Amino acid sequence: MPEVHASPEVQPAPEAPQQAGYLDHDEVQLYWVRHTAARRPARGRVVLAGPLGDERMHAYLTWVRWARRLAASGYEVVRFDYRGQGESTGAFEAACLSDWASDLRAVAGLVAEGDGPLVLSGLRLGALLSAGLFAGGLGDALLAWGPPASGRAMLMDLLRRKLAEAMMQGRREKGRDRDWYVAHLEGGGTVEVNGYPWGERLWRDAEAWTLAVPVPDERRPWAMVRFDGSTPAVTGPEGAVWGERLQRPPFWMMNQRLVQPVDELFARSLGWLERRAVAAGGGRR
Amino acid sequence: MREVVQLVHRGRPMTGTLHRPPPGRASPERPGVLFLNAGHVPRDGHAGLWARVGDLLAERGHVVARFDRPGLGDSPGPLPERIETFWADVKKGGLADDALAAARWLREHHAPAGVVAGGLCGAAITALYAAERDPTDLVGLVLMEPEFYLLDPANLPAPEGGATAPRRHPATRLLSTFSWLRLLSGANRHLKTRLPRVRRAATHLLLRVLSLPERTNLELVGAWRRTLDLGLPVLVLTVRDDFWDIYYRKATEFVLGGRPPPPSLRHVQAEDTSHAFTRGEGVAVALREIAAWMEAAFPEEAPQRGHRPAWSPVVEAAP
Repeated sequence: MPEVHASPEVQPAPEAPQQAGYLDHDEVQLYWVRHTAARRPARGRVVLAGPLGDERMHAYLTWVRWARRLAASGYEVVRFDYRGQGESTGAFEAACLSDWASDLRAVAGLVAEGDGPLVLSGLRLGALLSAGLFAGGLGDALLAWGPPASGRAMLMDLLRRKLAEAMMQGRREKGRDRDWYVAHLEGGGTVEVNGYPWGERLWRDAEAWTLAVPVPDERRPWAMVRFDGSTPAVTGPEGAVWGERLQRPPFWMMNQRLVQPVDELFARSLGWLERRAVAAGGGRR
Repeated sequence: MREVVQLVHRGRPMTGTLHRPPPGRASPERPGVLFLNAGHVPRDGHAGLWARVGDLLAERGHVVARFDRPGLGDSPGPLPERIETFWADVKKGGLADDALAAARWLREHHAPAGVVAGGLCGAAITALYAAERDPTDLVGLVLMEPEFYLLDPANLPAPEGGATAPRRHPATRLLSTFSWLRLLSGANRHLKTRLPRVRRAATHLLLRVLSLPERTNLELVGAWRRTLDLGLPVLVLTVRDDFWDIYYRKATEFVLGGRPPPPSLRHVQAEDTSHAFTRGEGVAVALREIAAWMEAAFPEEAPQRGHRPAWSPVVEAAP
């Protein structure tokens, strides 16, 4: 596929070339987009792991902006869609967090070789998965934005939002609260959440995913960014955990802004990458 | 099988996905299908609806393309900060040229029999304007929840050097048929949970006395009239009695001027789902209806082009 060369005068942020394609993995086609670093050698390589379902849809423009901002700052970036979502093939109803972690690992392979440290940068679901794989040894640095406490906590939060929306629209079905949906899932049923069919496999697998906070003697740089009270309180070395105040609703929920005011989040995250991940060599082993 | 494609229109790249039929299923007689962005949503759509429809239609022999117009999804380009500014552009047909470029590309490279274009909400608006502007490459439309009303001018940003429209006193809403229709159709949250039967009856009563409701997008109604004149096969999917359905029905009544709907038009009203067709069985209904209509409107053996309606529209453009 030819590279995309955008005119700088029409872009809100400096633009870097991008390429897109498919990676065959586990009998599905994983969609990836690669943003080429604006300088050589690159400062590092970043794998972006995004959020789930509706959160992906709402966050998309901001997530792409983050990818372009990283590339313009000298990082080689690859982002992708999990199987069963977005442009990747596969059935959502058959997928689970462990599958999506496998997808993340496979896509990281696209930038396994290259300049600088390999950074895992995740948002929400992607932050949870990235932290899990980082704990397992993948990557030289971790940057997790708003990770949920666990896979179950994330799914329960999405179920809560589904019920709240149904209540606002006067469509809540009698007797169908979160407990009912949980029992239904555990009994092998399917629950539709914003058009995505959740199944028992997703629900049960999510139980195995608890946020993996790096151990105290972790030598590789890591950071977790808390956006509000929904992100669990974690402790780490100085500068590893910080809070960001975002405009409500946050950019991964429905809202009226196409261009989100996230410059501070981007600047602080880039600053952390530069100071900790790149300057320190990213803890490359 | 999906693959990534790209076209450049007026110097601006558009990234897209192409769904190819499996070997042995492709046929140059079958029209291609083009799905456009539903508003500002990435090209896969809400809950990946258009990616799923693409796979399904490709299985049935159609080449399907979905593009992100510049600025959306994976396509670089400028975007306004506020969603209302973007929508104001959509509602006056600002995205139609990008759609026509994509249709031209699809026809020239993969679908010599022509292209069926459409999508949800903003995509339906854009497809209608595109068909009106230049139907050369188009052989049909899929319009899901086309939006025949305009935004409140008070919510629009000020034009350069100008001022925003003044906010109206809340009491003036009592005289606004737009506000009443929002309230009665459930688009307004305040009355959503109350008196569904009374609301429905009151809505129907109000619609009987109205010609075109306040804030109808007259330019789009004109495009709708001229598109029906062309006799393009059209599938319209709406959610029964929601705000979009009400405006669509009134616009169509106005355009037809008492005549029966032409045979080229099929309107399906889905029940108990959301505007984006993501609640309940909405996704399944959309998949089923679009696939069935494509099969009926474009059977494998029939000629694809030159279809004209057996009626003559007499409705004049709205003042």
